[in-house]
Amino acid sequence: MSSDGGSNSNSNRKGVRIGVLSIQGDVAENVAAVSSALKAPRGFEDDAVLQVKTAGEIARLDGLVIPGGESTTIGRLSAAGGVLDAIRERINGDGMPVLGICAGLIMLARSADDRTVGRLDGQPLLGVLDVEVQRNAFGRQRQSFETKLDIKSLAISNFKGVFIRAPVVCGTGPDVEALCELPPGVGGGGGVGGGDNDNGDAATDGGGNPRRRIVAVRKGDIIGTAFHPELAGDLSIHQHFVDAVRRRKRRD
Amino acid sequence: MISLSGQRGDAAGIVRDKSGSADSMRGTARLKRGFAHMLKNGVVMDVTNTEQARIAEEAGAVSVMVLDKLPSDVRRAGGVARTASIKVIEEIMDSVTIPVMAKCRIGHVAEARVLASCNVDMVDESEVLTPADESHHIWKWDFTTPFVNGARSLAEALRRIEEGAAMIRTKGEPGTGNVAEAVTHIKKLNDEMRVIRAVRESGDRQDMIRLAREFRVSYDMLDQAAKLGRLPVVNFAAGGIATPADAAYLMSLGCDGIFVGSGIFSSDDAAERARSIVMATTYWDDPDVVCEAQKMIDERQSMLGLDVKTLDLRMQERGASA
Repeated sequence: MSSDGGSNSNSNRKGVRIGVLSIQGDVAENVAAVSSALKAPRGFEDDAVLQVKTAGEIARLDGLVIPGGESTTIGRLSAAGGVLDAIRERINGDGMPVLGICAGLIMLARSADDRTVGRLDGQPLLGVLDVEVQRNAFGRQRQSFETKLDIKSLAISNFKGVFIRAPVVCGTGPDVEALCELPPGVGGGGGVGGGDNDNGDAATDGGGNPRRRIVAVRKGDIIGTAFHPELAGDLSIHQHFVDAVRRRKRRD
Repeated sequence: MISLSGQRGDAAGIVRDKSGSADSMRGTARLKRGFAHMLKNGVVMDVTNTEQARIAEEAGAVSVMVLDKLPSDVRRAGGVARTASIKVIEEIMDSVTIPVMAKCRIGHVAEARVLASCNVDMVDESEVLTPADESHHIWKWDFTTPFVNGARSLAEALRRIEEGAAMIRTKGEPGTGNVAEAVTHIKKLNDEMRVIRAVRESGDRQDMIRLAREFRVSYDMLDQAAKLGRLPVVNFAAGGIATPADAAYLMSLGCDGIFVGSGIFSSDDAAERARSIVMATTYWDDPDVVCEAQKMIDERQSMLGLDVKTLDLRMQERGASA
């Protein structure tokens, strides 16, 4: 742990160190997906995927995946150990690339509310991505669904979108790019204003227009998805993230 | 990624929704097992009311399990234990953001349908309640809602997965505050897994089919599990966990997460204990953090617990032969 921790050895490395935040959630699936993506088409010998859960480990990464899980659990535990501050510092200070999946997307967001419970003031978030997220936007587990997605600006098509009690991005700031939106009707028309129960049909804003249901966003090297690419059996999104980490590392 | 071993593409619980050009599917093995994957390294806590559910969420629980009585109280009360009041389940669903599970009786299809219809996130077909059918479990492929089942051996776990369980937990001995049985069950499962891996590696198919018959599962199910080297679904520890050290020990034996039944809300320091068990589950491999978690609780306030040798009612035996 101490032998390769210095900044000198860091600059000599060709490979990248990608962490998967291992507080809670589907860590192993993301470790597997990142490992495979690092090898394709061919990687470096010193490429590494690390399970990280302390501030010290975050400091030594070239990129971070925040996996799916329960955002309240991940948030509370990482806030307590100073991990949340360490991640925020690396993203804002060094532009560390980060991929936030489902709970991870919620963690990245500026604000989150819940479809049933409403505003969530106490939930610790990173707030590095200027988006408003609605948690459990499609309802409960019985409403979880799979559907094919096209993500044109990443040149990914026919991607298996696995939405598990998924959130949705209902508003973005000017510097955030919406990579993928659900067509109306898919997912039961969920992802609408908070407060009311499973009344998914009222998927309109005040003017009677369908609400936007954004399920993938990007701001520079910060990527967030409401669905689970690690469960899709398709490495395209993890590949895209690994490429971004490699590009950033070469630039530094 | 996620193992889909033993999945049934023809399951009645799979719902295809068409809207314009786009198709979507609900209730697939990927979605049901995937839900359980999101709970990994987390703690599911038994609760009986909204106040306890909020304490659990605040403490960092990944989910709550709604019961009418805590397992220790079920044990004390005797009589028939049934699924919780739907009104209480609905109140809890409206007051926390984390997933909500509820228990139905083993084999009680109608109770399970009621729970699925009221939209709980997962149904626990549980030996803590009085079994409705001693010889059959529910055919869980018929449901869009995922199920978790208890098991105390590899054979039992694979039988439940073949019936459509999306998640397995050890049975332990519920409501005792005694972790010994959960430890026995996970070790037995691990030992048996080593055996089927070795037999598969040896290439002796005759012995594989002998094991499949002994386990009363299909050859394919056994073969896929042996090839994978673990259960094809997430496997949690449950039954008798009362302290952070209990949780850390079971995580060290290879469990994917922890269910805590009576251990938290039968103790006198519920909020602290809930937080400490969550901490120990996440940082189970760091003795300093587990020690810190253990410091948060007072052993004098732990539930008294029961020696499993003296029990009249052994809940773990319910449904085991089916």
